[in-house]
Amino acid sequence: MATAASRFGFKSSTSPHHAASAADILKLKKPSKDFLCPNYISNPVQFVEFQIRDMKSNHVFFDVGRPIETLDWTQSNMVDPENMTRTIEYAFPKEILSFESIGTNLVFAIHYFKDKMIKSFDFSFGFCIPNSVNTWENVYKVPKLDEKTIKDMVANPNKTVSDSYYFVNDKLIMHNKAYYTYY
Amino acid sequence: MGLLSILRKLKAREKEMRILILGLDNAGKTTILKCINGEDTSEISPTLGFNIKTLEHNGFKLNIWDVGGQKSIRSYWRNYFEQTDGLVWVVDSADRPDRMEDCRRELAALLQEERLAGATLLIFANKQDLPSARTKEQIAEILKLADIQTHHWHIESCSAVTGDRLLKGMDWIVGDIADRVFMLD
Repeated sequence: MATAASRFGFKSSTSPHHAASAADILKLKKPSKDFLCPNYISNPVQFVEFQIRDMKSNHVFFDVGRPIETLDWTQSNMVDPENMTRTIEYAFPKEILSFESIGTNLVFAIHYFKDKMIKSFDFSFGFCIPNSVNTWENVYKVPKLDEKTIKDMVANPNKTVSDSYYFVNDKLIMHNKAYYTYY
Repeated sequence: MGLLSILRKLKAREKEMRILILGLDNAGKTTILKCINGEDTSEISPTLGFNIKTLEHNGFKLNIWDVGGQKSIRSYWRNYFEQTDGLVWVVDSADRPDRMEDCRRELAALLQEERLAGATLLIFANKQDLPSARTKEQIAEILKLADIQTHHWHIESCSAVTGDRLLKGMDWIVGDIADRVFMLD
């Protein structure tokens, strides 16, 4: 069984000493300071594409593909080389912060996955067919942010952070980080 | 303690629906899903897995699952039956007669499934934009829908290319599920 959880926040906090299970991760109230699992080379789950769009205008403002083996991660000067492959920096126009709803579309590939499940903290993927390619788009209301917060987020590039955690059999197998800049 | 955990479970599922879209390959399942969601439908390739959309509709959170319809994938359909509130069966109304028979047989088999016993059934007679498309009355007869006693069902003719009547069908299935599942609120 596998689980995925996503955390999105404004400032970093220190991470707990051990946070291996999904239940531990869901207790986190802030982005983790460090990566909470090793950067495994081979992984049963491969992410092949990630897309974000504004639901109102249908404008896709972020689309990253992974045609061969590695994601086209942006080289980061704030991340050490070991974690480069699992860190991404987004730069978005600040209008995104006041969009009503956005869609994030994840295309991921599953290899030799028998009876294994992927789950988010409020969503269950269920069974993944071996050698299948699957997508999940989550259309959600953007939380209402006040003017001051938006200003703050625009003024502080890379201080908005998200953590994505993926579990197989309740064991953390992948942890990706993203940093956001708004302009 | 048992009752309490059941109540908690109900609470967590409140206002959330799981809808499963099935049908033979090339019936238009992914096109329907994308059209409902306001996406471009000009380039759709066969689904070799699933596509899920989590979205809000009439105050409900819908998790809509579109699972590939190719023969090799159909044996995996059963992995997605659990907790399904609504089944959308998509028919290519202009399909060959032998495929229409496959279509009838596959649907009949699904309706025997215990884990789909509580699900509302919507049939989309899709591809009405094609001149050779059968009417929804003809589709209903081929699929022997009148014989269905076990499920709430409804058939809607539609075109996933033009978007015609798709929302009407979705409104019906969401409304029927809401009446059945959330009446106790």
